[in-house]
Amino acid sequence: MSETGGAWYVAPHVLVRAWEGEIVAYNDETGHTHQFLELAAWALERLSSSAMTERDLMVAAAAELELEAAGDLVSSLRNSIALLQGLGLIEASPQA
Amino acid sequence: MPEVLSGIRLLYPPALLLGHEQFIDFNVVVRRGYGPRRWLRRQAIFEFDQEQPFKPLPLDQALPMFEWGLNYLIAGSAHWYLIIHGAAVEKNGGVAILPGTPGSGKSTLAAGLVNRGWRLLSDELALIRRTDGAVAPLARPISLKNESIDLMRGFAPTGIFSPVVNDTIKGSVALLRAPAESLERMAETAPPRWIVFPLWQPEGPARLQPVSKTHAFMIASRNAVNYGILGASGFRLLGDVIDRCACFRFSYHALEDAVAAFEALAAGEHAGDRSDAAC
Repeated sequence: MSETGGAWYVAPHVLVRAWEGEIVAYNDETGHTHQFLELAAWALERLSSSAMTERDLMVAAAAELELEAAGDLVSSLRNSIALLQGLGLIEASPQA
Repeated sequence: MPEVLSGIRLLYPPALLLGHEQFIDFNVVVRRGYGPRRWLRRQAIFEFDQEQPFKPLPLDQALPMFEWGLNYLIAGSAHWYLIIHGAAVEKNGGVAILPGTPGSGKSTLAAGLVNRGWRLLSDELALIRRTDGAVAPLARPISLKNESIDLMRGFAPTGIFSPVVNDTIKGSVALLRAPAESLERMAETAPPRWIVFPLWQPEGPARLQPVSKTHAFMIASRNAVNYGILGASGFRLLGDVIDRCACFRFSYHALEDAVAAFEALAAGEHAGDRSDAAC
């Protein structure tokens, strides 16, 4: 979860490429390339289209992936966001 | 060194051998070692611009050393290409890039294909032009190792082979001259259509299995020798290449089976070939 509650967006130094629900991302600051599947791929692909809050992501994930917006999904999505943030691929904007 | 000169004359057509007055990319010398080494355990030395990037090797390895040295120089400097460690062969206007680690069987597979109608673009280094993503030819000799030498002698009995050099760091090595048509079409690029990760196996049928594009991207990027140097532009270019290509893992044992599988692929008969080939 963003500490500020603001929107998550793909960092400007990151390039992404998506195929069939999977994604590769290049971090131009570290030179690392990452491959993501499943929920992390879904989240990164969504964020590469537009910035979204965690709540927006949760609602979209529940609708698109036909999952219940609670329990495992919340935990998995938060883990995915933490993973993407830890790799320097996404950043959070301050809450409006 | 006469051993190197005779090897070059055997493996390259006269049209590719330039005179001293013509532009050259690399100033390379392969010479005998000086001093006592000149008589005892004689050695060959590879020099580039008067520097020695490698340790000397036994004299009988001079010709393979020359070829390995060229690979080293191209991989380290031709950054107007994305360079993938792998072979590249072409059929019906589409290129199959065969990335692979040493021992994966990519050179044997490439040698088999180019002796059954495919065009050799390159054996060790697939050169993807950064301006348009086309694969550029570098139809130098194919480096065959160990059992694949005799295998190819049987498979391509009219092929032109260098003498076998034993006890190299790669085992026994022989170089196979590129087919005449591949040499004649050295200026002709072609778009990539397939990325195939080969793996020779001690037994079993030839088997092409589709792999996801992200998986293919990751493996290809690890085999791209200058991917880190090219940075974001390398990522974009490799992504464009993957976009264009159908991607497979390929295991094979018998070379004839492998050629048949690739013929089916080129004919569009493989269900996993989802490339639009719109390059």
